[in-house]
Amino acid sequence: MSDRDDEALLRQIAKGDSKAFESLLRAHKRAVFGLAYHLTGSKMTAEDISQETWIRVVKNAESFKGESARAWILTIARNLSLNELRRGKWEAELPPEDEGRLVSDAFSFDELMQTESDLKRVQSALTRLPDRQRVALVLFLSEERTYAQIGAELELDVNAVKALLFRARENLKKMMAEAS
Amino acid sequence: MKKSLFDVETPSGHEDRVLSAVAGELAARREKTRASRRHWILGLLGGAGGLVAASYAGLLYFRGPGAGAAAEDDLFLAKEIEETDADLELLADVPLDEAEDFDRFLEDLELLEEEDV
Repeated sequence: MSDRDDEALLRQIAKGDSKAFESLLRAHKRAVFGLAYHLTGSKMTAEDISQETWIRVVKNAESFKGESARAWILTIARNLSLNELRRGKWEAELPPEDEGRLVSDAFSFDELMQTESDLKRVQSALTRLPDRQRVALVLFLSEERTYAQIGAELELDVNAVKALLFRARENLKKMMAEAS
Repeated sequence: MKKSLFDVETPSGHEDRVLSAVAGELAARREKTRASRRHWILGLLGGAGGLVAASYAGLLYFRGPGAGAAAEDDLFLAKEIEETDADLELLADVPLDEAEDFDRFLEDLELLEEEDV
């Protein structure tokens, strides 16, 4: 579905069109749920966040003026997920010795995911990462945000974000090696 | 690859739960849209009504002098009828022989006029 289609659907949703909402939901529900799930690490929390995301989409449909409806919807889901983490069990774990170990700028999941089964194992391993590592990784990969942007979300400096990403990759590799 | 990494199958019944969660908000939006449409139609009807009222007022204004003239005509006609009735009453009071004389007088007068011609 194109951004223009999504925008037309949002205009209809602003008038209360249920069919338009169903179309938009079917097009993006997996991405919304997936992002919330990988950020929070909990399917139950992701379910709540997904519902809240879609309620906000309806409430704010008439004020949407962005380029991409999908990006707008995912931003709502991301912010709700981060708020949820901040409110509750945000894990503070960043040992000082790790701060000097920086992940390379060419960080990529491609080396971890060669097959379809690798994808499922990575998805599963992602949810088992500590909160900050997982959030940093999901933001980095799903939205291609810069270290500085991720740092602003997590209230960390750039080096600390790089260290988090490095540790996240190392932990994922270890988990996948154990699983295979 | 990145896209599919975050594209996760939703739990069973997820879509129905979301639809149920937004149903109230969508209904509120529909009502707001209907109310807005009603407001717009009423505004349109009000405008049209105002236009008709203004047109009628204008018609009355411009018809005013004509209506006055018609009324004057009516008054004149009524007066004429009244005078004619009075003449007939007078004629009725004239004795028959005098009336015959009068007729003869008129006939004589017509003859004279013809002769003059």
